[in-house]
Amino acid sequence: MLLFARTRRWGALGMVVAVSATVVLLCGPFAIALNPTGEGLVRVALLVPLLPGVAIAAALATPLAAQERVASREIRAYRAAHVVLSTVLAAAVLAGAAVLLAPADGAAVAQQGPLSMVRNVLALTGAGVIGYRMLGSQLGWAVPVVWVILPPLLMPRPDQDRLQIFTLVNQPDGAITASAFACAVWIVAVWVTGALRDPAGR
Amino acid sequence: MRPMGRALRSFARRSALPLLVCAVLTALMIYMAFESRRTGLNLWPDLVSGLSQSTVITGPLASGVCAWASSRWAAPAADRIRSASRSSASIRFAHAAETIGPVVAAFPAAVLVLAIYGMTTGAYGFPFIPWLLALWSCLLAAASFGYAFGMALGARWFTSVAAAIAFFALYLLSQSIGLPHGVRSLFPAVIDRDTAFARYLPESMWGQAVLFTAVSLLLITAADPARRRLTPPAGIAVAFLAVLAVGGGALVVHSNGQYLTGYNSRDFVCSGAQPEICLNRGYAAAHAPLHEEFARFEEKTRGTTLAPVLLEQNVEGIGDAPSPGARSVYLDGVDADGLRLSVFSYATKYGGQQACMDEGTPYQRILAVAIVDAWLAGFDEYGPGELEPTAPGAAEWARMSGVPVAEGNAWLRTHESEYLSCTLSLGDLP
Repeated sequence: MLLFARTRRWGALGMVVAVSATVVLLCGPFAIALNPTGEGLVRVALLVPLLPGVAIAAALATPLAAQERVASREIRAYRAAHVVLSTVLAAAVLAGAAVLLAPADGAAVAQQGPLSMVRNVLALTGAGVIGYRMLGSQLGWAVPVVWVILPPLLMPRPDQDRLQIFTLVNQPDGAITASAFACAVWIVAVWVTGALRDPAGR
Repeated sequence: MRPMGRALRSFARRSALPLLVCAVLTALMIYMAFESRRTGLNLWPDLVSGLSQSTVITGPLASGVCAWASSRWAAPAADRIRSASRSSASIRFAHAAETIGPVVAAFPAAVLVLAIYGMTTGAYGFPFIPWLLALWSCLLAAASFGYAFGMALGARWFTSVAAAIAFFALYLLSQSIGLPHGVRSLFPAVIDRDTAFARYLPESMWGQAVLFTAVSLLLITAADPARRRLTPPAGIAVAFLAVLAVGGGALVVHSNGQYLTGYNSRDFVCSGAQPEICLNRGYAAAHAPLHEEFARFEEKTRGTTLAPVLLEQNVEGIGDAPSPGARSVYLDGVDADGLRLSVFSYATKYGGQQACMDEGTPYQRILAVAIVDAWLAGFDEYGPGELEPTAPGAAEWARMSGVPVAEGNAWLRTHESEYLSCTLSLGDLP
């Protein structure tokens, strides 16, 4: 169990979560327009869950693939537990940091607090895990990265996205569909990790 | 032909990931260029705007992929380079070319597809070549950053994603800490919007192209897995590249990173009478719907100085210089909102709102003029249409919006001077 935890870089993940929380606090209510029209502000703190999201997904890759392939004990459940526990840790810490944020200026970036933060951690972790499963370590990270960067370029204002899925990261706390979709993505990611064979062999 | 075929197959095997990413980036750039098109318009400047926007997303992707490829090569290559009969530089630059080349080739591939699209569909205008070169150099810089990053970090579990996120974080930082535009433009991502109403300022574009290319070559040179000392010729080359980078950067900062300024080429096609509307050739599709909009406006303003006679499409701000006797009309798009916004901007530019800008003008008067403007243009999204039902002006707007055209026109003619001087009160409204 301890060996499993070590090979999934729990120390490094803890560090990433701590750094992310610090960045959330530093960014505060700060917002930036990614789109050249200057329309639609993206709250920088809401992008921070990308860090723990891809770190959790990347850490799933084992440095002991050969040994794990021939291990007598089934470790898929451990992998799923790794995703669940590390997501809970990241969500709790980042939501705690988001509680301390001051309200943002302007309606475009208001009403985005701890709920949005937890939703983004779930969505981006889920997207990262699924991305790494589908595309491997070469390109798996691109799935959450594109999900974070592309939507504000194409749809500057979150209310332009009726589905709330494309611009999920920038939706307000009350966006029910976005929250539900984030949960669904994360649950699928946990299921994929726990139920399907690892590309490394088990 | 056989050795050539073998070489190509070998290259495809070695550079499978960069080649795949080349296809993905090409598709992404084309998609973003097409997404930047506006309804009813087919303009090269819109396609170039989309290409420019794409640098925000293609940069991190190129960086991450090149970091992955170089990090996997770094450790095994170090020993091979030390014992190789070929020079270290030739081995390293060959690998850099195999890795970065396909990724960077995505840009000309996307431009080629867009050029074919532009020629076959008759897109208006032509892309400004230095602008395209600057965009290409942005992609080269991003890929080189990732390549050097991966080489420095080696094959760790986080290398590729760290390179991608580091590149994006630097972009966020450069955009957010209140730097002057010229300094911000030292980062390889272009978010300027191209327009048909522009005069290009190529200094910044050339400066960026030189800066990013020189920095890229410096990064590739620095990415040495064997960590050997520079030979004298390499040292001279590095010094030369450093000078080029500083020169390019100085040019960008000096020209404030500005890509264009407002300008009207007056490439007009005119149509109709009362009003005659002259639009840029690329906006020809807007003639019929804009005439419809202005016909309604003309009915409401007939007999007043606000009635349009000769309208010329123009650019707001710098470069807005209609010919004598003509008035400016601004057109953002040919969709319903764009057309109504065009009439609304005419009403606010030549109506009473200009007089309302004076400090100390009572709110009630500003509101009264805004209600008239909204009625004239049939566009209330940014004005009285947003008022709470109990707010001052809401009841007046509800009444005004239902006034028949003839009655409204008669009212406007009797209250024209009050409207234009912003001395209209809510009680004066019909």
